[in-house]
Amino acid sequence: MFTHRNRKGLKLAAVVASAAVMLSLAACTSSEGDGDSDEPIELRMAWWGDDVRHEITNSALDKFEDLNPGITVVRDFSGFDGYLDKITTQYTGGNSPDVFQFYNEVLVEFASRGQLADLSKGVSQDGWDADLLQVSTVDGELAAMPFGLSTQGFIFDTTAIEALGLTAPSGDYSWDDLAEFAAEVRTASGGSLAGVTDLSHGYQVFEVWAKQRGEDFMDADGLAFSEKTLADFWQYWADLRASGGATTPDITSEYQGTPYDAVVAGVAASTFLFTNQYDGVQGRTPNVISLERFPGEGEDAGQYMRTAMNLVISKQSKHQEAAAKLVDFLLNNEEANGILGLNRGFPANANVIEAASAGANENVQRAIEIFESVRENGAPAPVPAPAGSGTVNTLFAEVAQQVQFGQLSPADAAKQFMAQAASELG
Amino acid sequence: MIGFFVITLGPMLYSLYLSFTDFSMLAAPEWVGFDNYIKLFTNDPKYLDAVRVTLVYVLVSVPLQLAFALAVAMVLNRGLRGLSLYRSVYYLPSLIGASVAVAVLWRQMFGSNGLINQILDWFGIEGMSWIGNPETALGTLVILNVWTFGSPMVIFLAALRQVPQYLYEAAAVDGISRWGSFRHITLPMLSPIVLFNLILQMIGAFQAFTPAFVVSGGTGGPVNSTLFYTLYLYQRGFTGFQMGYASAMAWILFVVIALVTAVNFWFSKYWVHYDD
Repeated sequence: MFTHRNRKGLKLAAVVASAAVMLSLAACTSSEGDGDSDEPIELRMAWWGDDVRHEITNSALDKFEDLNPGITVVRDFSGFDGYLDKITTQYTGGNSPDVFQFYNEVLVEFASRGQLADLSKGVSQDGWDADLLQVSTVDGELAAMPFGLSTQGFIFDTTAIEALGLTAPSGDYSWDDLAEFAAEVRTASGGSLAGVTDLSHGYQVFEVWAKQRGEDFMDADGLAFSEKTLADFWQYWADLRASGGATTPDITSEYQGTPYDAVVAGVAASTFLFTNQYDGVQGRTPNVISLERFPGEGEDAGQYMRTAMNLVISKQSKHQEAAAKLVDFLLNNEEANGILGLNRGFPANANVIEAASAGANENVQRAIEIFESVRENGAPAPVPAPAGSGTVNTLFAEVAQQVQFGQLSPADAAKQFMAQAASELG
Repeated sequence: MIGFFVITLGPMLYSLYLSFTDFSMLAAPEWVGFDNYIKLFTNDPKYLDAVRVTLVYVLVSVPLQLAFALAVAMVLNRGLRGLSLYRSVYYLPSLIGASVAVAVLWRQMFGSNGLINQILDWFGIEGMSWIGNPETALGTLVILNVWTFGSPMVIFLAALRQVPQYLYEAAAVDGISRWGSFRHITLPMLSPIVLFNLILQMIGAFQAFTPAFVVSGGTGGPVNSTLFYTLYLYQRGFTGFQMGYASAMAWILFVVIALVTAVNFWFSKYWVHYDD
């Protein structure tokens, strides 16, 4: 069966295979010693984002490599879809990235299981707000540090609104003002334009509503609001659907993940977003979009400095010291922040904000204005929610959707949500 | 052989073990006995939703898809010029049907500003968001599956070529109508191929994931109307950190698919005609 030719091929394959084995053995031995010697260190960093973010992050990492000969950073970047799956799977296989960008909603799942290194050991906290660090502290360890902050905002399609002869709310406006405005838009447009996207399924919107009533969405023990507050919130949106001010349930569902797309598509005149998304949204439409704070009585009531994303170090990393050096560079180095800019939100370190905001366009300037006002007057950021909170966030949207499609009344839905969420949080 | 044990059987047995544990993927699995299985059937209404949605999808989309594939195959079999071109064109959707790109296209077509509504608009009909409405969202996914009729069609086409021409000639001499010869010659002669396609497509439909994931943005919404079994499994495993629970779901799906396939084979003796 073996021809002469095939045998030759086999021989070659055997040589290649044994060479590969020897190489991997060599790799094993070289990765055992850590730190102190002059052995080259290879770190792996993972993040999600768009092309712009990939480009600036890569150049910041190039800079880091220039300043730290002996450390190379392998870059593992992708879009947001599938990011969590990838990280979790790599953890299970014991080869997590050393340093990675991470988001708040799942932070506790990882930190409470002892998977994240304590950052207070190798990363400087000079210029950092103590409250902000408290928010990322789990079981007494600093599990993460914000890699970009934002705050809640509302956008209005000024061009479309003025074409209808109306004025968009601005400055200090209440939830009732928003409801009235939204209904007017629907009438003035002859039914073709909703005043606001239905936001009853957004737990991030409800969070502000609850804070404005002296409560919170979740605290370290679980749900932190009363059933009445939730029922009122869902009733508010039910009234808006009845008046025609809000989008119809099918449209709402279509734009559920990215309500600002409904404004870009010309389906609704206003919606909620996070301030770091504003510049991108404005760039996608020729219409003038204005950015305002959230509705609600009292200046900046309920809004807070929100961690848009974190930077963390894996406990699996064999190079803790080098990893901390990289995190410190990305968060605290002026030059690094000059390169990174405001792509991920505002830097949490007050000392580097100036470097990061140099050259910001007028949209970003407007976002900075709102953010700085929240820094002055806003509410404290919520403490990390317990494990299982991700499922509760999903449940919130599901129950709200049943109200949108008229399958549940706001009061019954609130009761049902409280019970189911409690059982999920166990 | 080694590949089968290492890559297939090993992980399968491990997942069977995991299905009896509480496993977050970030900490070691903890043995919980039958708890996962018990919770699935007694204390998880969303699971029952997922089962219902998946059964409807399998029972509606597979017969429609096969009927459509057979119809197109028969048209193509009547000796069209440029057959190979048509065959390729109709086969294309099968190649790309389960891809993310097509699911995104579907989202655009059946969205509120989509192509379907623009066409309806010409006739003065006011559309809606077909993917945002719980009554129509699953329907758009059924249409997507029917649209990927190409691979059963190619198999049907090959089988149609094998049906001896003299049977039709004999039928024509006896004055049997075209429907009659379809009913009494084509279908019986094709029945083994129908069975083959049926089993293959049903197994595929039970495991459908991508279209629902993309069209609903990963939620299975609106109101769980597109919550395919595998999508819910994914949600539990990867966003809920309950891989033990997800493994239990996977094993139930595996057993159900095996049973359905066995039933298909068993029933086939009543309708499948083997020519030997």
